[in-house]
Amino acid sequence: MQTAMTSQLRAPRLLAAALSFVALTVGWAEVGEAQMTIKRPGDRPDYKVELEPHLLIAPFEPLGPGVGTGVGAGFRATIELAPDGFIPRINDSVGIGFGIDGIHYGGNGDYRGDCRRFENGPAGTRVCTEVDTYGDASNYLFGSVVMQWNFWLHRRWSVFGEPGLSFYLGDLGRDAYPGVSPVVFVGGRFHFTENITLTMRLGYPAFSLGVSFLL
Amino acid sequence: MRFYALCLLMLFAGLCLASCWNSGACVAGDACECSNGDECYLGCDGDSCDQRCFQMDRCGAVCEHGCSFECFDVNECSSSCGDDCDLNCHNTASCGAICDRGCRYECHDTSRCGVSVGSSSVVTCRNVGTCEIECRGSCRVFCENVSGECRITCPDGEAPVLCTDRSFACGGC
Repeated sequence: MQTAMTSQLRAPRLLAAALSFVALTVGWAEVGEAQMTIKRPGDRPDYKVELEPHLLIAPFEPLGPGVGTGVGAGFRATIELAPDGFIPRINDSVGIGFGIDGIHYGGNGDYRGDCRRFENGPAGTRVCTEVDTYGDASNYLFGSVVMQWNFWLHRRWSVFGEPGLSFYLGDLGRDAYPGVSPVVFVGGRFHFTENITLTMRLGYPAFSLGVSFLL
Repeated sequence: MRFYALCLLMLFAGLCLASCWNSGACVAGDACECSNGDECYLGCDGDSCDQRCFQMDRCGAVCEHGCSFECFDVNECSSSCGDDCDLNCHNTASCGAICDRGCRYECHDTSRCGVSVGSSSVVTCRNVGTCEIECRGSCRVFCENVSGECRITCPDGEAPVLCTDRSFACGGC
């Protein structure tokens, strides 16, 4: 008896839930449409520089002697260069970003490598004096320069692409191995307020999550 | 939306912790070895590694201080080490080594031994074709059953002296 009553009540509740979902979705879409800014050039936060401290995860091995995945922290300052961007009818802008990131790579435990340097020993022997990997943790310092191309999609969301170059010192504290690495990122910002955002970045050499202050 | 942002932050923190679990390498006290292959060079993160190579074509070990290394049944074997290392190379075609102070190097049943050692080192060549030792400070060298030449070079062109225990010495017995 109780089972029959329960199933009779369930149908109207499901219908009510479905109607509520549709109403909320339509309402959200209408509100969302009103807040879309991508087709309104210039409708975006007014700022000259973006300052962004962030945390980093490096899922890829770096160039140079580092191995394994990494974690770190860094800071990015991006100066707006072209407020109107490259595309006139789109709400885009272009900046130049300068970053400094420190990443600790955890190593991969593989101490078996190739010989990086041989020296001549007595009796015509060749002695390996440096191996290319010792499998252990290493620290890197990256200094990056990127072009940041922003697309201001919505009052709450903006996205960007960042191609550039990074100059690094690998294996700090051991050999300080220098090098140059390409960097490429795609990222997005969730705007807590107009000028403070949660900023996420995916790409090489590391993913980042930080807070941007658009000043 | 703030909820999603917090979730994302927690996910990121979780990934950070996960990446920290990845560790390893050859470190102090670890026995690290290569065997049954073509070529392998062993590294050590710092001091006191215990390294081993066998049944390979070419093999070598690089270490800082206080390490031990045994290499055998290898065609070409090399070791590079800092102070106070204990190195043993046998049953190979060639053994080469560069080590610093307090190095103890033993080379036996090998065609060719070439070793450069720092001061207070002791080198033994036994059952070998040629043995060539460069002492960069005081050292003792035992040449036993060397079919070819046992050549010892001392610092500043000084001649090695023969000691009562039949070893050769640079810097006096």
